[in-house]
Amino acid sequence: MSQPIEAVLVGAGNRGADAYGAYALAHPDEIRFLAVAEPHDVRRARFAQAHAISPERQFRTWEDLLAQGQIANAALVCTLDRLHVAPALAALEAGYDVLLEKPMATTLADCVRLVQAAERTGRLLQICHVLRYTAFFSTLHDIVTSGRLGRVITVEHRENVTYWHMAHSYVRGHWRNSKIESPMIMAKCCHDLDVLYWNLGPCQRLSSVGSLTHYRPENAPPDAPERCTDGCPAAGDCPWYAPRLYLDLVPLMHIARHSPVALERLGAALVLDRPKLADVARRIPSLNAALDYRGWPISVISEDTSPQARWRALETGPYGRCVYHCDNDVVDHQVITMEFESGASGVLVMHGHSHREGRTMRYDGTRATLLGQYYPDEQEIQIYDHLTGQVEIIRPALGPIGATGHGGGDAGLMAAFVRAVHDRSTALTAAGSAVSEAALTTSGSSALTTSRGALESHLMAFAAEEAREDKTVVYMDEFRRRSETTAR
Amino acid sequence: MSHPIEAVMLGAGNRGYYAYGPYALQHPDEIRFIAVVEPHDERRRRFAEAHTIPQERQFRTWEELYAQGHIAQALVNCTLDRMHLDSTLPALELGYDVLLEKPMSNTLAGSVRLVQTAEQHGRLLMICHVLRYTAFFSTLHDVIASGRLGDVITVEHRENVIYWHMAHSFVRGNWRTSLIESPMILAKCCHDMDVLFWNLGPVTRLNSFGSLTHYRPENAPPGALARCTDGCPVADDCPWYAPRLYLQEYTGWPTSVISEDTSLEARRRALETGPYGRCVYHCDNDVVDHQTVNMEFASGATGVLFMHGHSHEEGRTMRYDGARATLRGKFAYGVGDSIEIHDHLTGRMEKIDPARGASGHGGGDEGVMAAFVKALREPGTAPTAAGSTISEAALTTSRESLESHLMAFAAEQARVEGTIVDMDAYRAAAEKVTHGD
Repeated sequence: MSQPIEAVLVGAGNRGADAYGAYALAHPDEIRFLAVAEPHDVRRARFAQAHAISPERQFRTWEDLLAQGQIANAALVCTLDRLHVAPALAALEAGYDVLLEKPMATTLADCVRLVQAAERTGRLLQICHVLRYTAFFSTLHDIVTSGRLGRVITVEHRENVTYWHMAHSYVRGHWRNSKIESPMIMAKCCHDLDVLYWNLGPCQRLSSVGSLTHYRPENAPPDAPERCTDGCPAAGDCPWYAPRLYLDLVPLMHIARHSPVALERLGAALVLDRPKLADVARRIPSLNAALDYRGWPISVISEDTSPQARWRALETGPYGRCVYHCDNDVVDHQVITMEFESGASGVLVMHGHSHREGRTMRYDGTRATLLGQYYPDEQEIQIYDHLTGQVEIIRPALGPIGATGHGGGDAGLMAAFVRAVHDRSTALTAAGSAVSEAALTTSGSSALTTSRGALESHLMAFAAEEAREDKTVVYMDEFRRRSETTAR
Repeated sequence: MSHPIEAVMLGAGNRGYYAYGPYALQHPDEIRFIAVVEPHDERRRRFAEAHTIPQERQFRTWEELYAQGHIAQALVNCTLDRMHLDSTLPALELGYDVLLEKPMSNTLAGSVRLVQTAEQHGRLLMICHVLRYTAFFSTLHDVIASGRLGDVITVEHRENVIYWHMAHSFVRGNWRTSLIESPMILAKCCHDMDVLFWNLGPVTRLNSFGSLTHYRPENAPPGALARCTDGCPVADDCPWYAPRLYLQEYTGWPTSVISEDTSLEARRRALETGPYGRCVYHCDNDVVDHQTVNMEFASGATGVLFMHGHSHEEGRTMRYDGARATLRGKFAYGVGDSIEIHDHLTGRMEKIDPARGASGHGGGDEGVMAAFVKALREPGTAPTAAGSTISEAALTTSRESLESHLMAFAAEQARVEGTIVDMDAYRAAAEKVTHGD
């Protein structure tokens, strides 16, 4: 590429700044941010400084930014879920190609409206289905499409959310209430449904069960106060005791306890079992680094990550609340069963009670069975061939720029998006007319989708939610037709 | 113990001869088979000889047996699924206590009627839910009941049938069509439903998807013939090529099923002429090769059951996520069985070897016979609806066993009709169906 594409960022929070901003800094020849809109002063200033954005191109609101007209090729919309639609629609209308975080929107009608707008304006609307760009899931996809498993008959896909991640995001945090953000099946499993659609094709019908079963007031231990920091009598026995996660990093030490490095195992054991000897453990450099970890989810509770500031955040903010006394209403477990047009059956299990974070899956085909594990720290695919009885173990390489967000997926997605925008702007100049989204399939990565393709996972999530609430089986053809009409 | 219990073996096939017969030979002080009913001459002779049953107590049909009146305390019924109802009802009415192979009956109405009849006559009707009596599943049950996992929130239970077992039983063999025997979800997963019910309590609603997707004529490779032995051109590339499975040195199950005479020559003939040599794409099969059942329990837990016939290995795997710990289990008939408990608070993992679990009894077949004998010898504690009593040793009364059958039939209805089944309504309707006839 000769010239980097120029982009604007709407929302400089966790995803915008850390996931996509970092890519631009690492690849200045590919993409450059020349404007930012972010209401939070510290975040806006930090992003502007990192990307050398001049003061007149720093905006508090997306309205102010988009009032400038089209000042760049691309707009990256990384606002909170409920704030996706308006800036994305406005950006498309203004002529931007748009990269939009998943989920596209928090209502079905808005999702469809976005797709309709992209199709009408002829702009690129790329949804951040980052899993497609990870080495793991692209390898999985290649295996499934190669025919090596034969015809896929039945699939299990699990999204196992650890108990503490569940508490952080879906009990105490941003996604706790479906009236504030999306239903959990959308917030968490939009990716997973997209992987199923990518590998198995369209779903024909589905059903779903699940509920908020555990994180409710009636399950609180006797005398548990409103906040962990109020001297909770159950603190020692409670896996969700907030200081345990946000100050002592106990779950991180649990991971270290199973480290392949003996010294790390020893250090973690000291920290966990002999807290008075924690200083000794700190002499192990890697463990010291782990104890000083200040990234997600710790970074979410307070801008200032000093221990004192974190304690204050727990005393006053949402993350110090008892998990049994929050204003949460999203489910803590949900199962979707699906029948695909191919005849295959599929099950998605999502839940917030896992000991280990990660996705696991099993594909049984007519020629082979595949088992997959996609954990942040361990990724493996096993293929058991039926005819030969042999097993092959594949450990997909990490993504293009190492193990950054979503197993390399963030970087892969950005690379593909940049290429598509670049190719389109070149083609636009050459042809002097709009190039339709369909051209995507001929340029860039095979993982890129039209916005209509990306819509499918959202339709499945909304259909699952309807099936769960109404206790019905949803037929997808009818659901697709209905959603198209509702949006108009 | 004073006198062994006297019993009749009804159906001396695979299960009768191999699974339950040997218990009596090993425990002659507990139970003794004094009569046998079996239409197949060789099988009847074989069983009678092993248990020294005199000629006058060897019967071809259960009608001949029942014409003799009540000649023993107990009856073990190992007939084919579709014969369970007709062969068990007269036994209960005559006064036999009955141990009956699962499924109770291949129809819902039949199953309910058996339970109602047992209750009405105050007889013990015990269903062979053998999994409850295995060290693995009793250990699993103990772990869950102990509260160690906290409240169980979501459960996955998989019945992975290996591709050749699928072909043997459900494509070429006895259970290939639901018109002859039971729907596959009943035949294969009655046990699994029972385990879920045992561990999680009653289901409030369920739905199910699945179909016969692979073993169909349109999936046959080009040039495939009606029989493997007709010189099939794709034999080398076909995992289901019959001689690959049946003409090896090993002659136990499933090879023993294809021919009484297990000589190589006899087996070859069986493949040339019998059902087990047929191309898997050219059989008269109609049962599904994959099915999932999605359940919500009264406790609020969700559960999913997978059953499918495309596995690389045979066995059940499961995962229980509770509020305090996550459990993963694998039950592969003693080969690599394991239970892992991952505690959330401590981050520690404990691995349990179920063979050394608390229960102590060995395989499930032996365990179920032991429990049956115990229930008969120590009539005691658990009152039946009719007011008579049976022993707690019969871990499952027929009423409790019925629940897994209701779940399987409801799943089949949900699958066929594409609906959600409300189990309360379903139970009530099932009870009335039989009162009507």
